Amino acid sequence: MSMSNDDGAEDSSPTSNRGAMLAQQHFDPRGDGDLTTTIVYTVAEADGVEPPELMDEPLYDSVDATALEATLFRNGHASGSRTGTGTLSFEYLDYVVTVGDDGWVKVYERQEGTDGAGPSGPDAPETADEPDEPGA
Amino acid sequence: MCDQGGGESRSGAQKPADDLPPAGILSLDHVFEALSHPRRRYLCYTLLASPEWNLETLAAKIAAWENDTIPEAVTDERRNQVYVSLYHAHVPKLADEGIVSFDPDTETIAVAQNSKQVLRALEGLGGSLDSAQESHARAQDSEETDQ
Repeated sequence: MSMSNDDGAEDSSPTSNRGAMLAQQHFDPRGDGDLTTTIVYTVAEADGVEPPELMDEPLYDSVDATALEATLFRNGHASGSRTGTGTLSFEYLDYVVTVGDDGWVKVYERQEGTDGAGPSGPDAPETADEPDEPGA
Repeated sequence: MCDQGGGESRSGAQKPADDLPPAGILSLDHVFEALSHPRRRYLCYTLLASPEWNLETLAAKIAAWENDTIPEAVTDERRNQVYVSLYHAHVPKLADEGIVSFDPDTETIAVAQNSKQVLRALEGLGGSLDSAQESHARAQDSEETDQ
């Protein structure tokens, strides 16, 4: 598993909850597909099911992949670190998923015992998420 | 579109904070956000034709539109790709905005409380910008032979 095209910056993300890599697919921002589809297809491959059968939980509950796609691939090219965004990781189902700005989507086992340890927990990084609105 | 004139500041050029548009206008953000992706826009157009859709039927319809063909001619692979992106991204997004509801048991998408504003906006757009997409979405399964 040392064949990584990860640049060192990625290692600032919590890797302690990552086990073995189970599947990887490449997303081409100039192609027909979208990032959501690539992520779900890669997780399905890791899970050993057909992609349309992966319906336990919408990916959207973990990450807004459409927004992520716009962030990482805004300029329409997948070429390592030209955008300088690096790699993002999040948890989905029993997996840790990383998406690099080189277009590689990788799915890892999730290790037990590190729940909520990192900033990339199951909470989607939405902005307006305040439960308590102060009454006007 | 913004032409800021450097240090120029005429009186009234800068709006004070209490001059913000009313909440009804601000909520247009949600409309634009919802309609910013072509698949979500197409989904909303189909809601003009019928207030309720099965997810798989809708996926075939959208795949047909994207591939410039009829739903029967869409490959399983293409339909599955659209189905996955609807289920995992676009439908939950629109549900978040209160524009559609989704019943996972029956896989039915239906209009929800905020759909009216969005559909009105779409009807306005349909006349000019997006008419090809709209007319394809609205073409109820008239061309489809059910057998």
